[in-house]
Amino acid sequence: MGRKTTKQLIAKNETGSTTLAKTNGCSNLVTESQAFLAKALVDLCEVGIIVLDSDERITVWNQWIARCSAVSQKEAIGEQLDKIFENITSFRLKQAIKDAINHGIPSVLSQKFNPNVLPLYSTERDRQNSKLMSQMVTVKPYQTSRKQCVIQIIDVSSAVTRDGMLRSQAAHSRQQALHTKAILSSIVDAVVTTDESANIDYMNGVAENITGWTFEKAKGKSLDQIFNLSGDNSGLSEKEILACLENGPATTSKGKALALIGLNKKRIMIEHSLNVIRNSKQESKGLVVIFRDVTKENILNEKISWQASHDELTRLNNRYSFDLKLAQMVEQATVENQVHVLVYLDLDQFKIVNDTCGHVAGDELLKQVSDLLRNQVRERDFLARLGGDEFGILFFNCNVKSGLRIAEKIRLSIQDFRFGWQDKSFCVSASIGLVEINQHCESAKYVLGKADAACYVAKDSGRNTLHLYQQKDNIAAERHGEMTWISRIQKALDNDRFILYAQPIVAISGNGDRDYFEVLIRLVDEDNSIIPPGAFIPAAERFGLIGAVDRWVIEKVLQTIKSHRQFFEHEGCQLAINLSGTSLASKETLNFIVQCFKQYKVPASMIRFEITETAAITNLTSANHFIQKVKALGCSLSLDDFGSGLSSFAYLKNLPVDSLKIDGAFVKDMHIDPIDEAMVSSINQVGHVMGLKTVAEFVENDEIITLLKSMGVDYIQVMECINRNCLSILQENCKNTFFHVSISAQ
Amino acid sequence: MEKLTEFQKDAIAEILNIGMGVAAASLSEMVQEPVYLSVPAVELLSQQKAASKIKDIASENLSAVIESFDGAFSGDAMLIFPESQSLVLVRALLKDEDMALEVLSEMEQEALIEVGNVILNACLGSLANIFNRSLNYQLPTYAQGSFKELLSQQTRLERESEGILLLNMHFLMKETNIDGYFIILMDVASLNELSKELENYFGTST
Amino acid sequence: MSKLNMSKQSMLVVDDSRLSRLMVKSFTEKCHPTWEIDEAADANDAIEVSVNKDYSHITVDYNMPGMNGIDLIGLLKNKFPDAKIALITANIQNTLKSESEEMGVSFISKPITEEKIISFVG
Repeated sequence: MGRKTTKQLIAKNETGSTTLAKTNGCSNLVTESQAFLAKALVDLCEVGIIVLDSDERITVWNQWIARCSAVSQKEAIGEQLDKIFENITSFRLKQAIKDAINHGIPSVLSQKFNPNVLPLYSTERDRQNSKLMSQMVTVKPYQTSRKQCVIQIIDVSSAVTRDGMLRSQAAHSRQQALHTKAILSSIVDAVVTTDESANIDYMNGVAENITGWTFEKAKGKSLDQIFNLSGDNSGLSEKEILACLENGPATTSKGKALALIGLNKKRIMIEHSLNVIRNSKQESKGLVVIFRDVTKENILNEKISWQASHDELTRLNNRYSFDLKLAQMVEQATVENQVHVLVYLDLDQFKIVNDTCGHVAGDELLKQVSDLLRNQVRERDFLARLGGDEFGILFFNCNVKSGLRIAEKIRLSIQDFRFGWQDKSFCVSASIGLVEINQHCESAKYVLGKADAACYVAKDSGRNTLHLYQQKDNIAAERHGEMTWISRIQKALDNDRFILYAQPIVAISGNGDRDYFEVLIRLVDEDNSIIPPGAFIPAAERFGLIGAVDRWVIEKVLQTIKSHRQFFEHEGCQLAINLSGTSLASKETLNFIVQCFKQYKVPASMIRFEITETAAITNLTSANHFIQKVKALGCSLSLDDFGSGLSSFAYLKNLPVDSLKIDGAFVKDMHIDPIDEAMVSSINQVGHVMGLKTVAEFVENDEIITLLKSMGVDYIQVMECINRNCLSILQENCKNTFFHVSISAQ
Repeated sequence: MEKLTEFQKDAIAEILNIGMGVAAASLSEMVQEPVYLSVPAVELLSQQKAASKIKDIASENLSAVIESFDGAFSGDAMLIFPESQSLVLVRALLKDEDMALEVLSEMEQEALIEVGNVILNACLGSLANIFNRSLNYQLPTYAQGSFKELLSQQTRLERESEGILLLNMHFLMKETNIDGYFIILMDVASLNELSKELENYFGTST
Repeated sequence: MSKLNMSKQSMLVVDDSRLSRLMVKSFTEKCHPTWEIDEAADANDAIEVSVNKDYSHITVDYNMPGMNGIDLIGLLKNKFPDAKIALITANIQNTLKSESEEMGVSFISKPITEEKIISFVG
C-alpha cells in the first residue's frame, strides 16, 4: 500500500481523544470498567470535550466544560448546544458541526477569527469580571454506526496574553529600530555594523557613499572586504577586527587619517572608530564602525602644515620649522653628545637687485639661489629660508671641518653664479657664518645668535666670506644687543628723547679762520642715563632708523638757531652736523633739508655737513649728487674720518668738499708714532693741494698741537674745551632747548 | 506507470474544478475580493516530476495548510503560497494593519490553519456531495518548506510511491497580490476507486 | 421571451470539459430529443461553430483556456440577441454571479444536475 501509517484521527490532545476514539470505536466490546475508565479520563482532561450525537444532542460533557460553563453534566447531557448557550451566535461552529456530522469533515476554529466561541470563563473571578475565555475549538467527525462529532475546546488565554506581549515587544523594538534607523541614516558620519563573525549587517547611506558599496551588495560580506584600508598604515586588519571582537577595546584613528579604497578603487581619507556591540551578558555580538571622509580636511591640513613649516616663495623650510629643528639638534647634541653644524648665510647683493630691478627680480634671485643651495646640501641636512635674504643650513652629524668644507663649496658655487635679469647680469656672493652645535651649547637661541654674529663678521670683513664663530667676535657680540635698540631708538624719536652736544673745532692756522662746532647726539634712555652715539648709531644704521635720526638732528639744529638767531649771528658760529650714508643716498633727506632751510629761515652758510669717507665712497654717485645740491644751497661740507679707507685719495677728486677731517686714529698717537705723523702730514698736504681745509680730531695734548701747527693743519678738535668763555655763553643760552654744549665729550 | 484515459482526466479535472470553485468562493468571501482561478490541470506523474511541476514557486519557501484524507481513496488537499505571503494573507483577513511581527505568531498560525480549513473544506465538502463514498479527513496542519519538502515530508505519499495524481489550480487575488495553488495529491492506488466513483457519478463512460 | 418560430430548435454548449458538455447534452436531449446541439471546447471553437447558426439556447462555461465565459457571452449576445444564455460554472463567487446577472444571463453552478439543466432548457 502506497500510504503512510494512518495518523491518529484526533491529532491534538492525544491522551484523552484517542482513548475516547478507541473506546467508542469498539463500544460493543468494552467492559463496564473500560467505559468507566474512559469517562474518568475524559473528565481528567484539562480541555473541554463535548460529544454530539447525529441529531446534535450532547452525549459527553466533561468536568472541564462543566466547570468553565457552570453547566453541570446532568443539565447538559441530552440537550442541544443552543439550548444550553442561548446566545450562541457562532455561525462557524454550527457549520463545523454540520460538516463533521454530515460530511465527516473536521474544522478548526482559531482564536483569531473566533475569539470566544462559547460563553466560557477560565475562573470564577473571570466570570465575575465578565472576562470570557479565549478559545481554540476543533470539531472532529467521529463516525461509527452513527454519525457523531467531538468538539474540543482549549483555553488559549495564556497564549493570547503571550501573543499580546510578543506583539507589544515587537512593536516596541520595531519602534526602536525605526528610531535607530532614522538616527543612523540622518547622521553625517558613516556607520557600518556587523554580526559576531564580522560580516556586515547594516550600513547607512553615508557609508554606502564613501565605500561605493550598496548595503544590498555588502550585506553578509566580511568587514575587511568592504572596509578596505590601504598602505603601510593599514588600520583594520583581520587581526585587529578579531581582536576587537574578542577583547573589545575600542580603537580609533582619530587625528590620523587612513586611506580607504572604495569599490571603485577611489582612495578616500577617513578617520574611524571601531567598537564592539555587546549584549546584556557582555558577550560581543558584533562590531560597529563609525567613520567619516576627511579627504578634504586632510588635504587642507597637509597644506596648512606645509604652509606653517615652509616658505611659500622658495619652497624651503621656514624660520619656524628651522627653529624647531635646531632646538631638536641642540637637544641631541647636549644629550647624546652629537656634533652638528649650523650655517648662517646672507646674500650680499640682494638689496642691489631688489632696488635696481624691483621685487619680482629680488624674488626670482631668492628662488634661484634656493635651488642652488638645495643642490649643495645633503639629503639629511636641513635647509631653510630664515627671512629676507638670510638662509640657515643645519648639517646633521657633521664636524666643523667638514662643515667648513661644504660651506666653502656653497660660497664658491654662489660666487660662480650669475643672476640674469632682462639685459642685466649680476654677480652674487654670500657672507656665511658657521658655528658648531655641540654639548656645550646652551640653547637654540644661543647657537643662532652665534651664527648670526659670525655671519655679521663675514659680511663686515668684506663680504663673500666664510667665517667660523669665535669667542672674540666682539663686533658681532655687540650686535647681539642691536635688536632691543630698535625699539629704544624708535621710542626716543617718538618722544624727543635725544639731546645734542656741541664740541668746538678751533682754528689754529692764525689766518683768520673762525672756530665752529660739531653737533653730537646723545640718547636719553628711559632711566635718564645718557647713551653715547657709538652704542646706538650702528643699530640705527642696520635697522633703517638712521635717516630719521639724521632728520631729527637737522631740524633740531635749525630750530635752535632760529630761536637764538641773534646769538649765533653775533658769534658768527657755524654748526657741523653728521650725516649717515643712508641720508646721502636719500632724496627724502635732501628734500627735507631744503624744506627746513625754508621753514626756519636760517642761512645755509651757518651749517656744515660731515660725511664719512666710507659712506661717501660706498654711495659715490648719490653722495656726489648730494654734496653738489647741498653746496648749491650754501652749506659747507666736510669729509670725516679721512684716511680710514686705503683708496681714499682717488675718490677725493670727485668729491667737492670743503674740508678734510683726518681720522683721529692717526692723530692721537702721532707725537710718538712717526708713521701716524707721516700719514697726518701727507693727508694735510694732499688736502691743501686740493684747496681744502684740514681738521685734526682727537687732539689730546700740547705736543700734538705743536706738531699740527708746524704741519700747517688748519683746525683742531680737542677733547677738552679751550675757549671757555664762548662756550659757557652758548651753554647758558641753550640750556632750555636741550641744546647742550659739552666741554668734554665722553 | 498507468495512464489516465481522456475521460478520467476530464472527469477528474471537472471534479477538481467544482471543488475548487467552492473553495475559491469561500476564500473570496473571506478576503472580500474576487479570486481568479486558472484552468485546472490534472497529471499522473512521478514524485520527482511533481516537485518541479509547479515551476513558478518551485524554488520558493512555501507555507501550506494540508488536510489529509483516506477511506475509499486517500490523498492530501493542500493550499500553498509563498511563505512571505502567508503573513499578508492572515493579516489581510484579520484586518490587522500592525505588522509588528515579521513571522507568524502561534495564534496567527492557528488562524491560517482555519483559513486553509475553511477553503479546503469547501472543496472537499463539494467532492463529498458528488461521491457517495465517505472519506476520513484529518485535522488540517500547517507546514513550511520547499514544494519538494512538502511533498516528501508533509503528505501521506510514500517515498517510493511510483506515481502520483497531481491536480492543481492556480489562484490569484489581485488586490492583496496573493497567489498560490490549490493542490490535491492522490496515490495511484486510489485511481481505480476514483474511476469507479466518477463513472457512477457522471453515469457515462467512454 | 423567446420567439421560437423555427420548427427545429438548436443549442450551443461551450465548455472545455468534454464531460460537462456530455452531461448538458444528455440532460437536454432527455426532454428535447429533436434539438440540434452543437459543442465547442473554447471561445474560438464557439465562434467557428456558430457561423450561419441561430441558437435559441447557449450554455457557456466560465473557466476555459483562452477567452473566459463572460467575455464570450458578450460576443455571443451581439450575434444571438434573442438566445437564452446560461453561464455554467464551478466558480460560484458572488462577483461572477452578479456579473452574469448584469448581463441578463442565467447562472448555473456546477456540479451539473438534471434539474438545473431542465429548468434552463425547460
